[in-house]
Amino acid sequence: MAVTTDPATAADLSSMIGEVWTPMILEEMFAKSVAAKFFTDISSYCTGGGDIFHIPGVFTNSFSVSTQSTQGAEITTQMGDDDDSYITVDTHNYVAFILGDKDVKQVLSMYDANVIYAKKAADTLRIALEDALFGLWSSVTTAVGDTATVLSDAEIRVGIETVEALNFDVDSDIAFFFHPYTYWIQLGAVSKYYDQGSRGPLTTAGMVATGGMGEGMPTMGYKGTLYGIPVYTSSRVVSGLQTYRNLLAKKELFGYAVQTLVNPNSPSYSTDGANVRAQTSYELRNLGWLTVVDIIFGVKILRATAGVVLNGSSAFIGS
Amino acid sequence: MYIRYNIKKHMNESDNELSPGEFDNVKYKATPYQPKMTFFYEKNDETVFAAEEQEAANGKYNKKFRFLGWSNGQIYSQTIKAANLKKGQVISKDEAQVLLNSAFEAELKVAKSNLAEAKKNGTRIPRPMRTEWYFDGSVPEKDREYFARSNNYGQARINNN
Repeated sequence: MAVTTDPATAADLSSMIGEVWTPMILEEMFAKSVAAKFFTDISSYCTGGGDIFHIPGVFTNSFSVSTQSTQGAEITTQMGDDDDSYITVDTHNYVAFILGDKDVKQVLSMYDANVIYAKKAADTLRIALEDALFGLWSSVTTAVGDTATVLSDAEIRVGIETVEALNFDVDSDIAFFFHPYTYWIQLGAVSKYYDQGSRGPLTTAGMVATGGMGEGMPTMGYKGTLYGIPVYTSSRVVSGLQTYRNLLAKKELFGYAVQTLVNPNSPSYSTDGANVRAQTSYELRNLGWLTVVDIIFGVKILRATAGVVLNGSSAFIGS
Repeated sequence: MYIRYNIKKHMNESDNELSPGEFDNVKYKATPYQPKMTFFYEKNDETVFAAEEQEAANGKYNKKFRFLGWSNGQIYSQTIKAANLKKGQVISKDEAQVLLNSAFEAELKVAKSNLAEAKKNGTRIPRPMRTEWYFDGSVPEKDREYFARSNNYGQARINNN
């Protein structure tokens, strides 16, 4: 009998073949904070207390030009109406979890479970603020299209025209916010945006090469510019009945304030555009480590005409 | 509801007369759609819009806008499917808008009917609730129970159980 007829199998060696846990963690992915980074943040005015924060507006009517037709006659005065926009800080969200002593002791030392889950909780709360901001779309005065609209370049330009016709500066403090579906599936299919003949300088790599419109910054959710206006994408852009509520917004369209307290005994997470506090303490009665992550904030539409909703149905794309 | 389209009618159409980026025809995208609890509201300018439950709850829409009714979102997708379009099928933009509008109107009709029936029979009128409320002790117990029965908390991101 040949000596090679009975090679060792994995089953023969199973008691010596180990399983290895790598130090890598597959973390939950969250949307980037594009709205909180862009819209008007008045958090710095909220540190001294208070729950309602006012921003007076004098945009609700215009002065009319008077003519002094008779020299020496008494003049007619006029006055503008005020608008009181205010943000009420009334939302206190939290995520809490507790890890028992036995489990903490037995979790492999290379994994800091508390930090991993605290980060996940902080991201969850960061996104709650994003959701609240994008949810303000319903109070925007003007919408381009509706649930039956298949977004095309025409709607994009109508949106820009609408904002500029109201004398808002479309060269600064303005941005597009598209759902990734709208950006990749609908706008990505518009030849004008990737065709070399129309998209811009030939010396710059186009959408097919870079995935962006001009020079973007993917890690920030920034995709470049469209008609000179910055483009951001976020999965938190609201959808309803297969329609995405994309936005073209001036900075003053929405406002928010974060009023999270600071605990000197534990570090707070200063995440993108939102201050989320994380606290951990040992709870004797539970024989475990309790972690609570929280955020206190308020959001409000400040100037309903300073942007447009760009509705886009996901049922069809441009042919 | 069946809406039929003449495919050949559009096959030879050209959109050369339009400026780049605009189009006469659209392509059916057959995106998978899971019907969701949907609430309908009317704004002061009489614009009617639909919002999914989480958005309506977060935005406190019941306080901000006139509540028109609620539905489960099924009629919308059924109306689109009933047109028997194939994935990638090209139809005119106008026809697509007619189809999508009819789907919206059909869903809105169901929503209004649900509200009218509930008022007539004195049955519960659902209000939009955030998924987190199921786990939130500060939410009245009856609301949490209702939420549990509605079996609509599968997407809850915050689960303290």
